[in-house]
Amino acid sequence: MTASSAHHKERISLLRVLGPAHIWALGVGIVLVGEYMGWNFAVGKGGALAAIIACWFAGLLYTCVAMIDSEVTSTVAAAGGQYAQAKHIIGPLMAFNVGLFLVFAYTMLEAANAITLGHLVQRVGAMAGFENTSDKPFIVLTIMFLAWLNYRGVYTTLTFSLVITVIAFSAICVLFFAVQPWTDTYIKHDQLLTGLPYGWLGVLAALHFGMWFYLGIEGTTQAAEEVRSPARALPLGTMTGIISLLIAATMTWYICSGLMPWEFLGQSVTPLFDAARLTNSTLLMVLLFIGTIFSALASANCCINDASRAWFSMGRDRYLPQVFGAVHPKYRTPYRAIVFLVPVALVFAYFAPLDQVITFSILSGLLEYTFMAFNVILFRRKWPLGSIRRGYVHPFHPLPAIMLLVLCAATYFAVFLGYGTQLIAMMVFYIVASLWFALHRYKFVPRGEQFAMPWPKPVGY
Amino acid sequence: MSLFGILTLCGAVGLLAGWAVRDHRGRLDRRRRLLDDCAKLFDTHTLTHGGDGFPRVHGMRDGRNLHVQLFSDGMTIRRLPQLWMQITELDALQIGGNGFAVLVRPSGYEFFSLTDGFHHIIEVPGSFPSECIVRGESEGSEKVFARLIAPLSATLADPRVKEIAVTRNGLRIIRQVDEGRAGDYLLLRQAAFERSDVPSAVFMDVLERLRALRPVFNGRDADM
Repeated sequence: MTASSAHHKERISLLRVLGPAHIWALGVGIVLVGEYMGWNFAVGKGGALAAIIACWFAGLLYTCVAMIDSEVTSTVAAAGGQYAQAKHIIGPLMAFNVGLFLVFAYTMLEAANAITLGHLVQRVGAMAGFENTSDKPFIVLTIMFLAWLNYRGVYTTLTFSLVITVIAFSAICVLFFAVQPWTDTYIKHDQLLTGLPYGWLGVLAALHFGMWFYLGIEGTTQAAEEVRSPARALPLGTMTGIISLLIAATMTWYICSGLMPWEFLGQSVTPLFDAARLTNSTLLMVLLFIGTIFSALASANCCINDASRAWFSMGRDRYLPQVFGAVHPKYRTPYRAIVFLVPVALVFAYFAPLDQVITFSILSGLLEYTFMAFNVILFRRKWPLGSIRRGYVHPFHPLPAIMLLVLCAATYFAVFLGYGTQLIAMMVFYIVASLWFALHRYKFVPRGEQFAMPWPKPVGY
Repeated sequence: MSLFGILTLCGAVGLLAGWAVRDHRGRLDRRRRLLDDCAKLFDTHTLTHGGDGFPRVHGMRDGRNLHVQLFSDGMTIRRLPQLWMQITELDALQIGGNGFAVLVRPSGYEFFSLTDGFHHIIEVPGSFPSECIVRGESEGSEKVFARLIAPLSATLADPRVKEIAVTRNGLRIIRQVDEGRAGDYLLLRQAAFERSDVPSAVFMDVLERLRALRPVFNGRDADM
């Protein structure tokens, strides 16, 4: 190969960008675990109908998130996500908080995945005759094993990743067709759909877990280092991802709410696996077992990766002690951040029930979305349209931001209805952490070095 | 579930695990050969491998003492993993503590960057890429930097160049050689690169860019 043809080939490979269809497919893959566990706690809050209404309202919330995030991401360097946005648009205290939101949302989700996996192994063990199987060792093993993989930076190729995702996704589709939703052989909605047992307050309460269907979808857009994702791909890809999740969520709801009473469904740890059990098909049970295990493992692995990197970046920015900003000399991983977060995940996975762990994860996500609403309002005020180049401008501003704030407020109220103590505990934690940062840690932050965007001075400064 | 069912399941999981291990070993093997072509261009060299399997070459070419290193960077949230090639020309420059570094598209996660250790902020010239920072060791760095603006601008015109550093120990360029596949990263946070080798043309290109910075120092080191 000549030098020029080698150069030409290289240039082509570097021009790869994510298309909307690519983002759509991957978005569904990432949030798949939300179909396998967690969403059904919404059923327990207000009945099956309340859960599906909450799911659609949560879809509206995420539509606002996608619109807002697309504009800011296409302007602020997308690398770093909301953490980088907070640093550039609001300031270090907000960035510190957003960093914590990210770490806790991911770490709690990791704990939730480990609990689900442990519970499933325990259930299958009991079905196989091992009545005394405990879920705890499997919870600990899952977290330790995945943390070790992340510490060592062990990788496999997409062939393996694809097998996992394809099995997990097709398991839901196979189950959907196996229960013949067009007949009443398995699906008994006429007997099981009992209206709204707690009225419209139940719908509001269900909004809390309705978010679980989509939590993390905003993370699907990635920045290439040298070639930015085109402005079109960000909103379109995320929006189509949300629509497809809405369809998948409705399918999951339709199967589960037609197979089991809402009182049982609302407490199940593994709703899709339980739905498969009710069909009495061993093949379906095995398929959904594998789907649940794989989706939980894949999700937990991504969570360890993302939480440790968020913790690492806070160490590098000196928002946290600098020891966390270290990279392993051999494996090039943020090993101290990984190790530090292991006991945090273990404590929650070992001692807290699944619904509470999920609540902590949702709350951190919710705080992040609330930040995004304020963030875009400030962004438009400080750098109005025309003052800097924007890859995408979201329409109807400030309507999406206001709608997002209203939906977030409703969801906070929903959390308060069922998990008031957890809500207050989490708020107290973030307030204490913010005080620690403002009164103690801030003096270590190199202030002039935080802002790296070539923007003009903001309006009013 | 029957015992047969459990055994079948364990067998399937074992097969998948075996496949994953083989896959991982295959990838490590491909990684280790990434700089084989470049190593042939050295007059004398030593080839070693890091703990992550990526190669390092240290050697001499045309009287130049060069250190080449590849490393994967998967530290930044919401950015695809990057494969960087770092080429350092070790040759003492008489500039004292007036070194500087230019970093393109900084995100704060650049664990490999020398810019992070320099705290004197230098104004970015208009001929540089828009998202860029320049930091020096001291105020005197500005003078050294000013003399290099033209060759630096030419090098930075290539969007794959990530960092250029000039210090008393020598010159360094960090350049992207590959970007991780989106699917692998998004689904399981895997850093999967398609390259089976770094073309010697890429290596030579960086060497030429380093050479372009040299004339500025020739015969004028004492002025610094």
